[in-house]
Amino acid sequence: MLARVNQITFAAPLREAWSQVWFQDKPTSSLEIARMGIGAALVLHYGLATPYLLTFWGDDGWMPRALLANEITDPWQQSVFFYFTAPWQWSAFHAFFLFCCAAFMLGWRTSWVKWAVLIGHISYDYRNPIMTYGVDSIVACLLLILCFAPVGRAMSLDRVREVRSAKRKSLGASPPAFTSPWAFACTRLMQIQMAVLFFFSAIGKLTGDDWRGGDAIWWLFTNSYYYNNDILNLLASQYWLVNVATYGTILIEIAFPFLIWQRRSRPYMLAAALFLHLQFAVLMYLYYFSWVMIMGQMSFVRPEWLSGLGAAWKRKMGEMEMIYDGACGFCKRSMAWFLAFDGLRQIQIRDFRTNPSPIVSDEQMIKAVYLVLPDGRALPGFEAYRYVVLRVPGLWWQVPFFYVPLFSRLFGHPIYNWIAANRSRL
Amino acid sequence: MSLLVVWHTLAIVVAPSPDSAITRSARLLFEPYLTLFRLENGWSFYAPDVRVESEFRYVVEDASGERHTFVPADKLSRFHPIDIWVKDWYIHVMDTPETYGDAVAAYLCREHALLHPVSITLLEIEQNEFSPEDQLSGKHPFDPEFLDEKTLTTVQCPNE
Repeated sequence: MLARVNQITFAAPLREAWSQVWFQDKPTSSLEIARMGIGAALVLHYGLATPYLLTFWGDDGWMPRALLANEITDPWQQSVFFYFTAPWQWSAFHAFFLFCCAAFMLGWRTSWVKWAVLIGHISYDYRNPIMTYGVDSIVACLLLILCFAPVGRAMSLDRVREVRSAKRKSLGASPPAFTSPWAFACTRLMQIQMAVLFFFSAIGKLTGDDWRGGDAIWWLFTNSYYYNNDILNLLASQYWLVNVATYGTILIEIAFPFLIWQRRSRPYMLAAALFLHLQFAVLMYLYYFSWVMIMGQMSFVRPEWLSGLGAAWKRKMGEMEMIYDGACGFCKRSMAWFLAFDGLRQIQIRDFRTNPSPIVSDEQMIKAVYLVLPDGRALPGFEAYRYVVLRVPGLWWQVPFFYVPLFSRLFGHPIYNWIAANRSRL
Repeated sequence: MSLLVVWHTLAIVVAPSPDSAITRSARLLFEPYLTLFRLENGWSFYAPDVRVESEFRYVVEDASGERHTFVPADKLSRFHPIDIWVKDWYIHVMDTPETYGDAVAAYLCREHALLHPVSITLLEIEQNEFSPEDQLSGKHPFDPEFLDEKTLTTVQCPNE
């Protein structure tokens, strides 16, 4: 009996601590940022490699299949390219992979495209393993965690579809933001991955004479690949900068895995890591690597910071009330689409048929949708949408259509007016 | 869920850990998982030492005996994402010309078919140490005095 009491006494706090470390109910927001960033990097990277598809990964390219046996010795190293025989199969797969990367970035059908992206990325790596470098491994590590995670539940087209579906039933509906203990566990896994990466990167440097002696950065910039005469001139005349940069790099890398966990030191460590990787991007041209590392570091961005940022943005932009015609089916369907992109819920709505506006008359409302601003201004039709798309982050993708100088207004007004006049037939 | 997070955490810690009796036995368990998902990496960027990387060049000898030297790095753009893949490929070829020399040369024979190549010679341009004093005295890390040319291999192109 006593043993059982002791077991309960000790087990409960342990379970509580375990849940605190791994399974807090949190949103997926930081993982979604990583998803979008890594997806964008993959689209760009593999997209620009398209002209070299058969050179890099084809059987008549740099790595003929016969030579691959030197590198691929483990049956667990698998690639879909191992099973292709005709060039069109490479092209078809590459097109499919790029499509999946774009869908992953946008969060469209995320639950399955994320696996296609992971399998594709690993397949490219194993088809020509000697061409890959550190960032390709980092991408694989982060992608696997994103595959485990319930990503695509926020900041995604999947979320837009979910909200739109609810708003088709009632425009005032707003499905609650997704949170789950598993989302937090996956965020934690990504954090541990980044901390491990920084730690072993620092340890590796500490075993080398170049780094311990403080000269590593000098040797780096004398390299033909990173050579820059202006930087080398500066470093040669002020050699202490070489020592500061060398030891500073090690210091940030060794401090990161220890100080990133504390509430107070986290913002400083994140800023230091960000600074380090921006240096790599600007001075060493390692854009892809730096971008992917920064996306991995996004896992340390607290959801509270993001919601605070969202609230501040909402306050700065001010309230917006969109008045629509509730008797028009097309208007309601369009509003459901439009509002589905308003993740911060910045736009209030009013149906003038059931709730007439004190500012815009019913006669005006028959002609166009109106946006009423806190200062009492009322913007009609095209101008209403033009105002909103710049201020609602989920609608920024429409900015190019609404803000092309001259053309947007020249074509936008007549197109909007035609649609408004014919809305009962649409 | 708890099992998965423990498993994955142990795997990503074991992957870069230095060789020891414990990590060797752990690797036996985690290896398939690490390999299948490509999680294997030591994360030793530019470590333990910064390697001064050699430059890859090649010479195409055409039917008339004329020799054309090519420097692939000159064609690359630092702003193009494939730049570093190409660089890494050539580094690997320079490290193991006995393995990849023939394949690279065969590829280059096809790429320069318009020159009617007879042979391809692969070269490694090794860079020697370059000190701050050298820089301050107006020298350049790629001046001939800091470079050594090494012939990796010469491969005959197939007859057209």
